[in-house]
Amino acid sequence: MALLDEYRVGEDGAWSDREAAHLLRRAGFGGSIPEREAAVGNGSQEAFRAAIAGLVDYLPDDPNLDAPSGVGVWGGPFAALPDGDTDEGNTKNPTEIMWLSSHLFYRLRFTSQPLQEQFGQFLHDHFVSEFWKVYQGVERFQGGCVDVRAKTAELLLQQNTLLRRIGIDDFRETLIQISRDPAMLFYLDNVVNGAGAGRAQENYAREIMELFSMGVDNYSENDVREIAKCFTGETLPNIRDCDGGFGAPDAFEYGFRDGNHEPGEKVVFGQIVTEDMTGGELPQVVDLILSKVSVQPSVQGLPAPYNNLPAAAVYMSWKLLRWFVNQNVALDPPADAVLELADYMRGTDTGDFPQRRYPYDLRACMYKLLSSRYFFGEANYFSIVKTPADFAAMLVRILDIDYYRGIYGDGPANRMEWMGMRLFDAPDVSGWRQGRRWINAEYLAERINFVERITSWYVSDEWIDDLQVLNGGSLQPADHAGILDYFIDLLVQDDLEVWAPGSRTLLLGYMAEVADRFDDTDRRFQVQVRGIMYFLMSLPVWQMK
Amino acid sequence: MKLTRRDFIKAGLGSFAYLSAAGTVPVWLAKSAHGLSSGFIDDRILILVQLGGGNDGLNTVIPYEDDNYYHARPRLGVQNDYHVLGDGLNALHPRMGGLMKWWEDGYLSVIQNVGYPNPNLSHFLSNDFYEYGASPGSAQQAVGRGWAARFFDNNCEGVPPEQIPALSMLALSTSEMPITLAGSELYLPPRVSDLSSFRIETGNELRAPYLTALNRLNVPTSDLDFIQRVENVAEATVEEFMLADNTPNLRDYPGGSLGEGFRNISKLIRSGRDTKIYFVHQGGYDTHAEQSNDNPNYGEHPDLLSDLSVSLDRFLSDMKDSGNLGKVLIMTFSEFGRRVDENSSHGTDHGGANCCLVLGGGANGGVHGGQPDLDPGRLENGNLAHEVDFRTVYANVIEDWFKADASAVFGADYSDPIFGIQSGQTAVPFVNPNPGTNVGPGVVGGCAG
Repeated sequence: MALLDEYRVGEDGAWSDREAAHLLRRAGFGGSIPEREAAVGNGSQEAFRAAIAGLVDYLPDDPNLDAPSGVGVWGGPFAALPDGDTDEGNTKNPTEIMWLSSHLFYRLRFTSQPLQEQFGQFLHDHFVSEFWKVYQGVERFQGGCVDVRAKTAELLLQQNTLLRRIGIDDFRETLIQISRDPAMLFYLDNVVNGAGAGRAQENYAREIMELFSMGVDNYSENDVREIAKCFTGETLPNIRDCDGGFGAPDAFEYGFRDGNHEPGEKVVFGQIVTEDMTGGELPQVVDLILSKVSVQPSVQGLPAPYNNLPAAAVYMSWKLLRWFVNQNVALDPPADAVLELADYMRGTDTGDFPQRRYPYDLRACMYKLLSSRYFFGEANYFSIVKTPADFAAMLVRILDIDYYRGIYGDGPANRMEWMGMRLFDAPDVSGWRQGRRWINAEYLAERINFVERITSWYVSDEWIDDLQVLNGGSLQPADHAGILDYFIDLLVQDDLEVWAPGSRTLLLGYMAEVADRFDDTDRRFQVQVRGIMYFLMSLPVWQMK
Repeated sequence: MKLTRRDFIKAGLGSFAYLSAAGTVPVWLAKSAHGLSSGFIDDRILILVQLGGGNDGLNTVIPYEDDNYYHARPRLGVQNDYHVLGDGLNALHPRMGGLMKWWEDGYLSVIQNVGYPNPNLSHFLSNDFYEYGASPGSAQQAVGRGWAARFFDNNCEGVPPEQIPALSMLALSTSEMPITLAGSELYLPPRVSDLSSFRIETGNELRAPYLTALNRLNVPTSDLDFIQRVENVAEATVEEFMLADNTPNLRDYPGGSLGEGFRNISKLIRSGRDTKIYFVHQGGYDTHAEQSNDNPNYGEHPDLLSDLSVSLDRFLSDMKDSGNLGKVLIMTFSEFGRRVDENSSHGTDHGGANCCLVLGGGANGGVHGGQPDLDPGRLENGNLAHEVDFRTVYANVIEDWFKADASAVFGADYSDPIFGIQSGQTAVPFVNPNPGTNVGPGVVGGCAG
């Protein structure tokens, strides 16, 4: 039986709160108690499939956040935010990097399509464009014509929207479009490839292979040089029209400038790329990239059908598995799950979704992955370190508290930065390092400090008082074990004693000590509840998902 | 069970006595008295400066007498205002004038032609080699221990964990824990960016002992255990960072993260922290396009060199004024150099061999490693060929600066003929045998080329 066969309710395990919680932590930003109940439904195979489909089959526009007309026109709660230079106005229409981060956090907080945003985070990390570098490019060419900071923010938002809308579908199309995305053209310098005399510039040629599709060492240095030639002239042809101080309206629109293109035939992976002076070489190169058989890791010697897997299918499968299933999945030698998913990814079916419709249909791959027996394997629970965006968004969504404003002090953009993640500003072109490398003395301390701040200032007394009511009156202040169990269910969503053995005794000890110190019942309850939340979200297991 | 800080310490669960929860790895955790008695020689300090993105060594140390250089770089070649090093061949970039007084006094060495065989032009793969200090695919990489971490383990083997200072190694101004310092079996180093804000908020005093206790549990996975240990490190270092932060600044530093990193290292050293190895990062060196303005003395890459030079100058001045100059050895490294010829975007693509700068009382002033050979016929695929293997440079630091054994750190690589330092011989004599007695102007040495 294959790892990626569908999870069979009953044979492989239950479809209950525990499995639903695992799914919602990975395919979104965690589930509240009602969200988990809705996902479980009647616990049947059909309910399981419905939950997966409900996550995977999302629309390009979030019905809760987007009006169906593209960038900069917001629906739902976005539309309700005021315009103008306020925290909320700037979050709605970001004009600089921290507001971009705030904008994206707002999406994570309020999206009704959580996988769209989690997949968006995956793509944001995969197709990196750093703000400062895009800013430099905008300034160099259009510094005298536009508000450079605001234009940079606009271009990065445009890129983010592109990836959010189409990134889960045809990976071939995404590769072509991201190559011609203005922010990417600035970020990896292809905007000036071929602009001057001399040898074609290699930045984008290398990274489209190494980081965006195939993984390192599946190409030669000569391939890099040849592809660099193919990409000459892929640019923003009217970007230089600012020289006279007048911005051209189409300055930031992609086009092909044949005058910058290096003519002649090129040879990539030993195959001919036909000369095309109208921009047709880039799609040829993308097709060659997606079909090149993997050398690193080597698939030679593997049994059929794995012995001719394309490098891009192997690499992208590994990246999906690492992001959504287990951070320790191995690329070299490839784990069995990597090979299985890669073989599925490169194939074609004639059936309708959820079967794959064409090669590199990532939505079908996500359906396959999330509904697999492998995904629900015990070893994959709590096996990925939350990113700071996960950490902040999960906390706020699960608690359903009023926290999203601002970029200084307590603002989410600032707090995520303190935890090591400034959105739109990855450390380099390979994105954030992920896994254990999110955790060091300072970043972990800032996670704990964030929890302290939220539980002290944003979890209101009223929120705590409501618990006694909301929970059908079953949360009795004197019932320490009952209170603790409620928060374990709400936050950890699993058996705490498995992940933090002995913690229950300590937490009950804390509650008892608080009870000794506070005579006032309401006050005592508030201190206990805030403390329990603080401890649970400071635990190592809450750093994981 | 109620718990107070006192009970907790009485029970032997305090912030130092700590065993690995997972039981697989002997775990360091200590906040000890100062005065490390481990294998480290006196109070010598190494500061590693990572120039991320691949620094253009040929536009850092300018081979101003070489026509091949100007032929390959009609636009980017530095034509004037450079600072000659007195060997008739090389000069520092015009924006690095702040280092000249250190050069003249013998506190700056340049090691030329540093690299490794069959260089990989991926940032990340090549950087891995440099940070692991190991051959591609070697066991050292598989284990995930950086070269400094291996050196640390080798040097401190047998030292009781509670005697290992919490700040033995420290990363500053990096976006994450660098591989170089990571993976030690004895010790987990901290990473910070801001000393003044480093703290753990508990909200109220009652919580502190419980937070500590909740991070000393017998957790079921190595990832969870790792997170616990990092929390323990954070607890153990809060006070140390506060002490360092309370040390006054002696002078201003550049505003970027590198300047901030060096400002903090100066405070840490002057406050008496016993850190042996520091790691700082300066990014932005991946200059594929518009590397400089029309005047190659200005623009993106020159600005980075200026930031580097000013930061180093300020730091060395701090060390001199506080009597610490003789203790420090600073070494820059970068994942690769740049292509010799410039490209159509007024930049340079990924290349091969590169130069390292070595500074401080531990530097043996001079240009070492031979002259870069830019003859087009001698280039490898357009890139500068290496003469000095970077692991030899590391081994020199271990042997000549720390007076320790490099062979154990580099394992099988050490017996490879690429190493020039077997049998205790110094391959590239860039370390000053008598630190603090530097003499200038720099002696021109060299063992290759």
